[in-house]
Amino acid sequence: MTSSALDKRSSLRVRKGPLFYLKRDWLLYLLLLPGVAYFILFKYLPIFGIIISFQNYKPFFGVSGIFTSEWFGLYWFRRFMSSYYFWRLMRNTFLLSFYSLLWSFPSAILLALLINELQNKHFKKLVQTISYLPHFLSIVIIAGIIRSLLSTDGGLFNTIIVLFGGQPIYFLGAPQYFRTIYVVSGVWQSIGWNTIIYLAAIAGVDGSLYEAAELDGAGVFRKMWHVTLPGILPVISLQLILNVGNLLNVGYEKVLLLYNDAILETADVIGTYVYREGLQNQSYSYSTAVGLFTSVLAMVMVLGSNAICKRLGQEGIW
Amino acid sequence: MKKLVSLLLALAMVMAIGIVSASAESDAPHIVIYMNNGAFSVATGSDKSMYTDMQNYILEKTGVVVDVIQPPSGSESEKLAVLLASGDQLDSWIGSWMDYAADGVIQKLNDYTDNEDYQKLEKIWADWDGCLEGMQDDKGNIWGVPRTTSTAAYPVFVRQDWLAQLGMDMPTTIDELEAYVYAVKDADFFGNGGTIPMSTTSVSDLEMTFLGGFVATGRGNWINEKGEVMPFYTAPGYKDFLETMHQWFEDGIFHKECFSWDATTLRQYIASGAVGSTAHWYSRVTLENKNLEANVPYDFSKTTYIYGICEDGLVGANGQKTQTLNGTRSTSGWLISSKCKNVEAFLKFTAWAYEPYNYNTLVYGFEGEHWAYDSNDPDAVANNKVVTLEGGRVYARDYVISLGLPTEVLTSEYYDDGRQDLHNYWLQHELGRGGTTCTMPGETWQCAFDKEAVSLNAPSAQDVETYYRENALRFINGERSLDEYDQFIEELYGVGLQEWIDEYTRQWDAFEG
Repeated sequence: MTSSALDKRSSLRVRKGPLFYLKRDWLLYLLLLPGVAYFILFKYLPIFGIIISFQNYKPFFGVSGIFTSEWFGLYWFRRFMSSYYFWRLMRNTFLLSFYSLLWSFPSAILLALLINELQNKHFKKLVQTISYLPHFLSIVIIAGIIRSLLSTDGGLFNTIIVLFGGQPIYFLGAPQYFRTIYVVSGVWQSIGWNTIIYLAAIAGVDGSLYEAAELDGAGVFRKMWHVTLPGILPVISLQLILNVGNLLNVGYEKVLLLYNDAILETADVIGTYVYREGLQNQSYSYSTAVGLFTSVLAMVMVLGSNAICKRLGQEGIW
Repeated sequence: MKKLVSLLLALAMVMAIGIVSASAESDAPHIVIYMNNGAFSVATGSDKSMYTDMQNYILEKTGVVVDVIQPPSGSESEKLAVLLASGDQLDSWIGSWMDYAADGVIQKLNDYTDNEDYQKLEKIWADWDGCLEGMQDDKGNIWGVPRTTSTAAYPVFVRQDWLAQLGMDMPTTIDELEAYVYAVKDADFFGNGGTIPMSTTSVSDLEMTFLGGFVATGRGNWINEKGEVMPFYTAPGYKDFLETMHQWFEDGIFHKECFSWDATTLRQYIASGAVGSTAHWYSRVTLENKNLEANVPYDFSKTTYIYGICEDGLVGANGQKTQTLNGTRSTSGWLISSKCKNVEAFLKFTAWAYEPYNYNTLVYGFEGEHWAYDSNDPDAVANNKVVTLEGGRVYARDYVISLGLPTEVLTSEYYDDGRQDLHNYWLQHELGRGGTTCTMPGETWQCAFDKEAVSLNAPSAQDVETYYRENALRFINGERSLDEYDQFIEELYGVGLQEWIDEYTRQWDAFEG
């Protein structure tokens, strides 16, 4: 084929517009449509709502209130940042998320590695099923279980303490216990579910690598360390980046169900503060401003962790 | 086959739309009420048939279709916030007009003062001091229909059977009460260490119940020597209050977990018979009396009820009543949305609901099915003496918009054994006696402070309130030493107390001026 003919073909290819592909792959685009509609309706359109964080918006007047509310500029942002509780809220939110990440993240990887090594299929399935179960419990049930376990009226932990001659402790009334309770219950609830993605990644590791390792005399732990872990490292780094993005987005529902005035020192997080200001005090503008502020910080964290991962030679999320 | 399925689905959708449209069609005016007035404190919602039957009955009697939204227990204000923001029809709810009037969320009733139904309501409430005034601003705008009167809502109920077993009289002072609760603690009448000498659920419960015995102005603002309005938690005597409460907490007078109890948990403890005395809202006891009597063997020939109170009001070391009067000149009442198109219908239904027979129907259900006039009293109809009937469908007071002392004192309810229902007795004889059994709530109680203005002019006011609430609890439960109380006051200034004081003083001066 001559070069002029090649040029002609490539130029023809370029001229094919979006309609051509739409017509050719209409079924694929149709499948894509609900997903796109979801993101437009529930993720992009609501972005318009952040305008109320610059206004003194009154929710009673609905969408029309957005166009009639008084413009407040950065008032709500300044108010939040000058609030007495600003640093406490940041610290509590960050620490709860950080500790959760610190324990939940590696424990799920570890459990996935251990499950992968189980030889008995029935036992493997049993372990997986049992470890997945807490994920399907509603957070209200989880909070109820935590309260029952920690109760001073016959709760398991206090019964054991009393059995050994101690005095019952009201764990949910003392700020020093809250983070541990939150993190441990979080690990228990999420560890099984979080293994799914790692087990899937492990299944994708080339089997010949294990055979080669065995030929080299590697045992179970060597294979885990030198084959499995490097094989799933891209997934681990991806998960880490996504989790870092959620560092300021702690699951406040559980906090809300467990906290009380006595433990605000460690339990009050941005989410519960937004809940109180937005829903209880009906200050939608203020709570939206706080939400926007944390979202911007979360984006900075995602960008930062993505950049760090790339510098360390791992794949980022883009 | 595919076409047939599609056709059937389309048909089903069209029919569903048709049914929805048909059910919404009615010539009668339709109002929607968020029933956050405490109506559901007894039971949570009637079943569909009961709800509809009562709705039809009201329609027949008033010509108004009334729909009621039930608030979720413990999250009433959150649900209201969502409802107000949703854009759905919501014509009336209980709230403080101060929170809504300035933003145009509610409408004033001045245009309806000639309305016959409004005049009926006005006449009823005029007999209750300060109630109509509380719903008006200084320009004479009427912002709603009152709901509450001044009440002695935080009495100390004491187990009379345990008093008898201990050979003690009903406590009349805090010292005597203290002797009783410590004796109850030692005696452990409930057994296995399960006795709760005193039940409470929050610091504010304790303040409403006891603070008058420590602080001259009770749980209300006081004015310092510079003429500034000060919050009650900075008043002389507040530290003594904290010390006493802390001591009681340390000595096991309160349950360790009491400050995280919800109303349901509290009522379960009371009904079980474990609680020796109370420091919280009265109806947690009065509404549980029947359940308590089912669980606790008691000789009613000695005293009428298991729980009793000090009739003259408990007195503190300062010689004042310990309880602070609740709801004085309340700005809370039934507010009418500015979007409400049927204000006359709302007034018609509400005025109808205030008539004694209709009140009975809305509280108990249908006569003959849920209640009957007391056959032991030949003048039962005239005296409005009723007994409730068991075994029928459950009616959960869904429509009782007329809840409040003006109606509650008119109906007498009796148990099968001839004793007056404790809750009803309390409403008729005790709740309205706050003027003699309570301390007035501070020196600025006549002034309705504008919370919106406080929020804008003193942005740290909310943080100050949170800081006080959090630390008061920490002082009581021992998480913080009371040696640091003075430091706590300094910290409050660091949080923004002066801003709080300046704004409240500004509003108070304007009110006085």
